[in-house]
Amino acid sequence: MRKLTLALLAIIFVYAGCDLIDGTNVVNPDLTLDNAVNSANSAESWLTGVERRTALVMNSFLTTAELSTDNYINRNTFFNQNVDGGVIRSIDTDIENTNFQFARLRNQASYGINTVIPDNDSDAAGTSVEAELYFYLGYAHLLAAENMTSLPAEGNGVPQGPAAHFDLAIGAFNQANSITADPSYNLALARAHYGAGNKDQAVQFANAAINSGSADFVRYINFDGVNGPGSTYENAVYSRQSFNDLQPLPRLDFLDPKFGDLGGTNISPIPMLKMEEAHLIIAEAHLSDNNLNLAKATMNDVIGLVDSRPTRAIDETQEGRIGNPGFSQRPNSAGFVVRADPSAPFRDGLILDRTATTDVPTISGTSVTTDRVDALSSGTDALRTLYLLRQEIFFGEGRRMFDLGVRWPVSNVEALNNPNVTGADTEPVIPGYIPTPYSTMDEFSADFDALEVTIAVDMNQVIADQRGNRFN
Amino acid sequence: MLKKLLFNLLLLMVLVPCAVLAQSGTLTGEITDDRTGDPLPGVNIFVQELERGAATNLDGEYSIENMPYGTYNLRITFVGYSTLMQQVEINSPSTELNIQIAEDILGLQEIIVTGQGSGVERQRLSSNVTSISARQIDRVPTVQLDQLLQGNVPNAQIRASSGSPGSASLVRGRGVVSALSSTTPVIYIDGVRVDNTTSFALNRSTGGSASSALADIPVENIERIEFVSGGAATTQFGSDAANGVIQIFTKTGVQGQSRFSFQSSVGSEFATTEFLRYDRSGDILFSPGATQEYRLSATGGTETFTYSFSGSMRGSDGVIQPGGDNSVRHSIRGSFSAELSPIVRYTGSFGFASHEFNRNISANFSGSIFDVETGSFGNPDEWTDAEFEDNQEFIRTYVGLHDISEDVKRFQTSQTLDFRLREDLTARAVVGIDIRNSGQFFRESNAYLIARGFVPAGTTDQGNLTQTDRNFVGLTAEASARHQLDLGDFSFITNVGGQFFRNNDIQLSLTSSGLPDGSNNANSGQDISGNNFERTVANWGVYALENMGYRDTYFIELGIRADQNTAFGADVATQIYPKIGLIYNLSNESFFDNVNPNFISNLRLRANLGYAGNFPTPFSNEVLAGVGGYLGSSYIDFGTPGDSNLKPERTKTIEIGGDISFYNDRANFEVTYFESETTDALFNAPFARSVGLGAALQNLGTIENSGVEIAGNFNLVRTRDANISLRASVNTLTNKVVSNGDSAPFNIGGFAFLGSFVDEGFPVGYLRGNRMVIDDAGNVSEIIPNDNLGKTLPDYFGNIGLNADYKDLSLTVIADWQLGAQAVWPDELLRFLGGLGDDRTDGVPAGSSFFDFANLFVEDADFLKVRLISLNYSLPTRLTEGLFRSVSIGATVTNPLNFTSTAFDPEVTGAGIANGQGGVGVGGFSYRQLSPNREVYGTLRINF
Repeated sequence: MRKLTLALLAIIFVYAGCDLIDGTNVVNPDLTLDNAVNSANSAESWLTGVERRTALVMNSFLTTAELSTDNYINRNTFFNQNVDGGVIRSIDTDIENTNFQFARLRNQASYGINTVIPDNDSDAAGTSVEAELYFYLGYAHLLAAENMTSLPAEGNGVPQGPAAHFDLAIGAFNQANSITADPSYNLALARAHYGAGNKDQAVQFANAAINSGSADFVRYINFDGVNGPGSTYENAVYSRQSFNDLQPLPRLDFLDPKFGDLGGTNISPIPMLKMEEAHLIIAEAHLSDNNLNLAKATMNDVIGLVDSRPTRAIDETQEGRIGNPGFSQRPNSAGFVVRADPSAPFRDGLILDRTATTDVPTISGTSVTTDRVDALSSGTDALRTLYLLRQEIFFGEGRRMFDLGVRWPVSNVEALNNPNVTGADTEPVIPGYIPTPYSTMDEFSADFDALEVTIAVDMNQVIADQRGNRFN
Repeated sequence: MLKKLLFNLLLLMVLVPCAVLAQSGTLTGEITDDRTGDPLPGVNIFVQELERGAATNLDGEYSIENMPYGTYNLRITFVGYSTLMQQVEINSPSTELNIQIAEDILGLQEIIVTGQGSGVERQRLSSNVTSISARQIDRVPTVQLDQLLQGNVPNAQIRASSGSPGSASLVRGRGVVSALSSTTPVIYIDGVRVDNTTSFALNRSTGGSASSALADIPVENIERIEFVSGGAATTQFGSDAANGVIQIFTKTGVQGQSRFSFQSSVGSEFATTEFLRYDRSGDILFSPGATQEYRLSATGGTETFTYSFSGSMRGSDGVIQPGGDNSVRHSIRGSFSAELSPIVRYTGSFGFASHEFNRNISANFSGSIFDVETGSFGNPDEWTDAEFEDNQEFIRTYVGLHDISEDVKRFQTSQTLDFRLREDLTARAVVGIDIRNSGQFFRESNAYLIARGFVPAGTTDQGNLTQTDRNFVGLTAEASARHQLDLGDFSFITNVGGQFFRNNDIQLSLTSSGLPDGSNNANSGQDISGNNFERTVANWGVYALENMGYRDTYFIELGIRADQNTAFGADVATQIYPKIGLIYNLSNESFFDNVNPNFISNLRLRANLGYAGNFPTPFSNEVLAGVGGYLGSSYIDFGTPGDSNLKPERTKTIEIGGDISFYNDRANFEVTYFESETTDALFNAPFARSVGLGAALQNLGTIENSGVEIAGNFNLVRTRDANISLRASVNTLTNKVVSNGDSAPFNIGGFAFLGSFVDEGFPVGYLRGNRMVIDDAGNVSEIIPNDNLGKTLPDYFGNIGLNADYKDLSLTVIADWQLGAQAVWPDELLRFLGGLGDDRTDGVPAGSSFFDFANLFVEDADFLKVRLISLNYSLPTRLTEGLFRSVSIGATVTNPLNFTSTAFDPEVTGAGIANGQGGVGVGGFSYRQLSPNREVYGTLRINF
């Protein structure tokens, strides 16, 4: 009996001791999704995640989107090379990533609305948190509507065209607007209706935004220089200095780099929505109504607003204006005059002195003066000038592609996984009025003796002549 | 009568022991190499009848006392030598028997441990196991494990990823069995699994030079290394071994008076400049540096206690001046073995390594030293002397100011208890740890930023630094038992055991910006941020292995391993890995006696089928949130999508081979055909983009590898004075992703314009990019998007080793080669963009995107590289007698000759070393990397 007791005791001690040497217990330091969304105020944290996602969306989209237009050229960098030449393919990894980021933003916003708030944090229902989630859901659809041939509106769904995405965006923005008032919701609705060609609603929400009491309202996409994400676009146009630098079209030189060094770990935010847009929409509506005077007055309003926007001194002496191929020198001093095409007049002040610290606009800038606007005498000239204003004001914000009518396709990875994708979805949209070759948009000639630069084609003239008014 | 009988019995009982005592003798002698006559220390002499024995001391002498008069059978065994059975008669108090033993050229009697659970004679194995002896290791004077393996492992490729200190090679055996994990085999030192990570998550990249744990495994005091590249021999290691196993066994000392050895090497190292485009780049970037190394080792012991110790230090100035790649290493390893009782022996080994080094910036990182090669400073061939000096001043100034360093401290120990329970039953318990702490320091001072022109002169508060610490702790415990049964013609070796290992990997990174110069303290900065990473995994399993033999002619191997692992999904059952092997030693058949040994002297056939696995990335089995900080608030996002069914990828390998020897074993061939299939391959494939979730690790794919491994060993000359042997290998490799499980292709490295991809029908990591087809008229006829532009895995590879000894002179040459792989040269692309390109882009229309002619930067990457030539001379003992036991001097040159089909180094790879921590890397991107340096040094070795 004693032996048995001793044996039992020994077994108990050994068994108990095994706890001390059990090495199979592994604790994941990361939170599971269930635990994370079950924490207090999780909807607010989820919203922060959605806000952060917009920065990632821009990192994926913006640089390539700018390169897809006449705003920037790139041949000397490992940023996207194809889109500059109009080779816009479904296999393009930047386009694929943008497909993903748009969907991710939509998915995150949607999960916040449909799961986090109802299941985990019902206190957030009906608050600004829910309104913001709707806003970002709408923003995801708005980006898809403006820039893509088509995109599924849900995981593995049937790709939807721009009209459907504009409708989805408008629906989501209206939801946000119904919960709480915010100038950005009105601006977003104005932009979405503008994109969909709904003139009355676009003007209605543009006016609502203007009347909201924030005449210089800007809503930004923010980057985090400490925890990330940083800004890929700022990196592309500024931080990489002479290596891998993107070069602007010479007539837009004075706007570059719009986003530059703020010192320390601060990163320039990128405007997402700003009050200038409300005026620009109204001006285009006036032109659509053939009301040139009201359009000119509105364009002067927007110039006034732009002129009130801040500038920042940026030292780009390292960067210079070394272009490519072969690191050829691009126009780099204030002495140059530039014309928008061979038939346009030369204008000065468009190229800054790149051998010294220069001032560049941080929110909006334009070369268009009220005198130029006052001198406009035709609707076409006014529309060209309006699109020049749009181009300059939205420079570096990823908006030019929509004005040019260029759209990216559904990605090859989507097509390989999603049986609903058709061949047409995987094709880009390149309007017939875009010159051939596509890269003509970026071309110019420069006379370094006479200090004259001639841009090959004025795409704003092309828009005015061939694409016409958004509302017509 | 009874009394008398009792008395006589008593007398007998007293006298018999006396008689026995009187009739025992001592056997002594010397054991020497039959060819050279050199005494051999550490040879085991086992008296079978007495079940005891002895080992030779450092002079090759042995002594066995108290041997009753009689006839005995001695079994003489020694690593690298054929086992010898010798009969001896003891009939006097002192018997002397000098024995000569012969090198075991075929190694059939060599004891192999890897994959067997315990030591088993090679002739009983169906697998192809490479064993590198201490003598061969001594011929390759190096301080890094991968360099030691290079040229010594006939069936694996060991490709340098970079010449930068702290980086290590891609080690690749039988192709690429996984699209997830690195091809680096698991590494055991004295039975303890050690860190083999070739890159880590928070590594502060300097442009491709990933810090590798292979670079600081102490290679001191090694008795032998075993290498298995996969197949049935890895089944014992279960969910952790599909890439193969490297086992290192350290010396435990030789009985006898303590002996010491001191070695000193002094030399110079030079940059390998033939891969530079411009001579003047080399003039600007590189200057020869000095190297020095000192090593002291000691060994000795008694019958029951032996020890062995070795310590070394090595300093290298590097070739990028000033201070761009200098390094200092200190390394110590000691092992000792003690007989605690007649049945228990304790062996402990302890290793410590310290490696401190500086790095330079490579690839396309800001401040890359290779900017000078790709047009950032114009065309170096057109520089004036003044421009040359200005550029040299500029570059050397900022290289000198750039402070990038790493400090690795590593401690590793193994504690072993061996139990000899019965003659036929032994048991072993091993426990050990590997602790590796590496700290990286990356600093851009204000002075550096000013020198680069990034901030105006006079700036004092824009410096920044990043400090990254990685702490790895690996714990291994294993218990096993072995039973050996001999039943006449039949023999059975049974091994059962259980093994547990656990890895804890914790990384912290701290970035501070706005720093004043002079402060190395992150707290001095204006903005400080941190990042961490943690990965823990535990694996436990049991195994049973049976090796059955009949007449030393037929053998059957059977084995099974059952595993659980914390990285498996919650719904995944215990994983079972079986194996079976067959061996037929034809040369042991009686009919083989009729075969002329001058024709075929040895022939054996072998075949096996075995499974091994690779466990998934830890924590990929759970649905996680992404949580962190954004602009001062906490955010929640989707994290790892997770998969509760995540299980290890399983690699099934079939091997069929044979070993054949000709001309009295003077020419030996090992030929193996292998075919492996990895099912449930872990793919990080993307979902449909519209799902809006990141890629999830899933068991989706199937990958096949097959090839023929041929290793030849030719003993060209074998006389008392001269011995020349040549080793050469030829391996073929076919690798293909057979199925991607309906997932989309995914990227595992490279660039946006030309990446390394995984897709059905192509080799793992094949080169994918757009191909521009230019017709005979010089016009672009077609641009093929996402075309197959080549593969980084060679069709053929192998190595060559020459050992030539003449009297006291010995020469070692090691080389390796590959054919049929391709590599990318992004440097040339940069030169093209800088207007300095060569004629490959002739015909490309102006304004074309380089994304559309990626194919022009892919080249065949064939090479033959001579890794080492080493000459050693042992001074005649008459010169050193009375002073030292022996003295030798040597001269070595590393990386002396490179023959390549490319103008660039096709081997070094910045962008292809790994895809994340422990991730797959297939190389193939030679992107502005430092090639391994060329070293020339002399060595003095003194034994006393």
